[in-house]
Amino acid sequence: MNANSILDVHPDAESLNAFAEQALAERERGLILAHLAGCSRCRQVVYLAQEVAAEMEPAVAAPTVRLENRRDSWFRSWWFAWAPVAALAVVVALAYVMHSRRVETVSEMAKVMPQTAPQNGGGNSGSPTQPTGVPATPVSAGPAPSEARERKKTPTSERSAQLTPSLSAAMATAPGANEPAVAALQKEQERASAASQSYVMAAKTMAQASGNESAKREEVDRIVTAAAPQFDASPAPPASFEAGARPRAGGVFAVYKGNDAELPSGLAVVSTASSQHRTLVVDKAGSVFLSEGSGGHWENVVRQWSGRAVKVRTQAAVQSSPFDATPSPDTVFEIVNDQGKVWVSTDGRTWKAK
Amino acid sequence: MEGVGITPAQSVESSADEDIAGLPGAIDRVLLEELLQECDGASCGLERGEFNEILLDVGTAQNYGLAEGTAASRQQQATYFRALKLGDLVLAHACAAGNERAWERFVAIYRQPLVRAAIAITGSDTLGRDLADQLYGELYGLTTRDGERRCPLQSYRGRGSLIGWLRTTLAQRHVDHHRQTHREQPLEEFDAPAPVHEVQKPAAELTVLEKAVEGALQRCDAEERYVLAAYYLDERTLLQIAKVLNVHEATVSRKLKRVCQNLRKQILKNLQGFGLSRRAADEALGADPRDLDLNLKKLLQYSQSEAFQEKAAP
Repeated sequence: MNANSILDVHPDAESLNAFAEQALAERERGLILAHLAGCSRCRQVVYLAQEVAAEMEPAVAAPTVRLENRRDSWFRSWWFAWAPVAALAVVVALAYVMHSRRVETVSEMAKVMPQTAPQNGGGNSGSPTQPTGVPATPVSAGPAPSEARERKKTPTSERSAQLTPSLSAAMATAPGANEPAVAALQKEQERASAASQSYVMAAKTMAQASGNESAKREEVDRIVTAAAPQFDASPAPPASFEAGARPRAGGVFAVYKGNDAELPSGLAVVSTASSQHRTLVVDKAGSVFLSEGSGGHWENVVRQWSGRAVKVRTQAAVQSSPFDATPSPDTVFEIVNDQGKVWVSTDGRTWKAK
Repeated sequence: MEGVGITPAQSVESSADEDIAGLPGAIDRVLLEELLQECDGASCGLERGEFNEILLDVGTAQNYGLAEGTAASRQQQATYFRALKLGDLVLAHACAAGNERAWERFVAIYRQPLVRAAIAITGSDTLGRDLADQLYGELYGLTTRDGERRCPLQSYRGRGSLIGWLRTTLAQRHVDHHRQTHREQPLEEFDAPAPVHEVQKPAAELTVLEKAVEGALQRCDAEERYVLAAYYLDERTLLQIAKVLNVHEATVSRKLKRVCQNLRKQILKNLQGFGLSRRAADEALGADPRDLDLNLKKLLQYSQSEAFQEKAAP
């Protein structure tokens, strides 16, 4: 096919289509182009076919485009879906961190408290089964019965806000300010223990002046109870009460559980004394209950004394220093009634007048 | 370079089970198997011998894309065949041969696009469907010549896509029909030009100018003439021209500007060659084109399209 021949005849549809689709070799393409330069009919055919192809190709390619768009949008939505998921994860992580720090704060306070607790413990502290680092005495005065019932209803987080003002203040402090809060708590505890010591020393001085050992002991108890009720008016149950069951909660949790000991009478605990594995408590009505174990089961002690029991204590604890928490192997329980008379027992069940 | 040349005059007569590799002009058996698997000829019920014959016909018709008289090596044959759209080629030739499975496939793939293309070309749903049905009937072999069933699909040689070939065929049919039926236009559509009273220039000067323009246009190459014709005669846009030439429209714009500058220079040069001074040549270029007896269409087109006879289609 030479130049003349290609000008004499029109290229067929095969050649024109191949030219439009750029499928021709350079030599043949030149021939077709030369023909197109001089043939308006073939130019018109090429343009028309190309325009139709341009119109039809988007329609043919539309499903692919739609599919790509759909996939694109799906990817977009998938990626956008990660935004709320990530935000939720951040919130959860933040909540977990804040919760962990709050628990750590409570734990640190519980670690700090054993240093001051024996000073506040008075004569009822020093359980033989009490592990080191677990406070045996409450930080503050025992709650009223109504308060105790309310506490049972309130969750732990809310209960933490009902701690002593210093502890509540420390709990309410931001996580990053734990150390100042603990320091403030220590200072307050030291101040309180100093006041307690002064009361005890005053009671001892008065007892020495009387020369009567029994009266001395009672006087000490009376003065300590009356003058410093906020320190040991409601001693805590022994640390073995719940200690170890909640290692993270530490001593603070044990203190709470001691105060929240649910007696068969349903009344609030007025006084508590522990020796070995036995725990004696006196409720607000004067009933005495004995527990031989972790405090889960309480049995009512048959009344063998006159009047209304207002206090229970261990004899060894009274004879030793109030700050001495070392347990005595031959401790006996004592019940003091509202008239100041004392009954003693070695097992907590059988009582004899002293 | 292997010396197994194939000339268009050579033919292959082989059955499906014959060892075609041993026949003169046959395609390498390994290559044939590879191409047959590539185009999935079995789906059209095409056997190896038929496939070999189709490839040979196509290859020899174009001399494997080589210049006339050049013998194609096996490597050149393989390159040529691999550049073809073998799937479309096999389908078209299987349809031309009357293969029912091939026709089912063709209808499923191309029937609707054919109708849509015809409607787009004609701009009318009715005319488009008529055009598509007419071509579909031709493709199906309803037309006979000398008692022999003729199918235009036999002219498809796989260099472009089959759908492109169908669109181009439709466009050809439509343009030819339009030119035949719209050649005579009513007189009222023409605006009668106002009579121009001008000072007639000397005929010799105009004759020189006409010769200078004609000489300048003849020096343009095919692409330059195509750009001039498409832009000034067909009034196509730069984008349309760029799509045909497969270049950016900015390239077409630069080419057009350069062609015009070169044409002006060449005309001036031709005028000076005819003995005019530079100033006289510039003045001659300032003449009103309407004074020239120049048929630029005729100059750009070596022959009018009406004079062309379309290549005999099978």
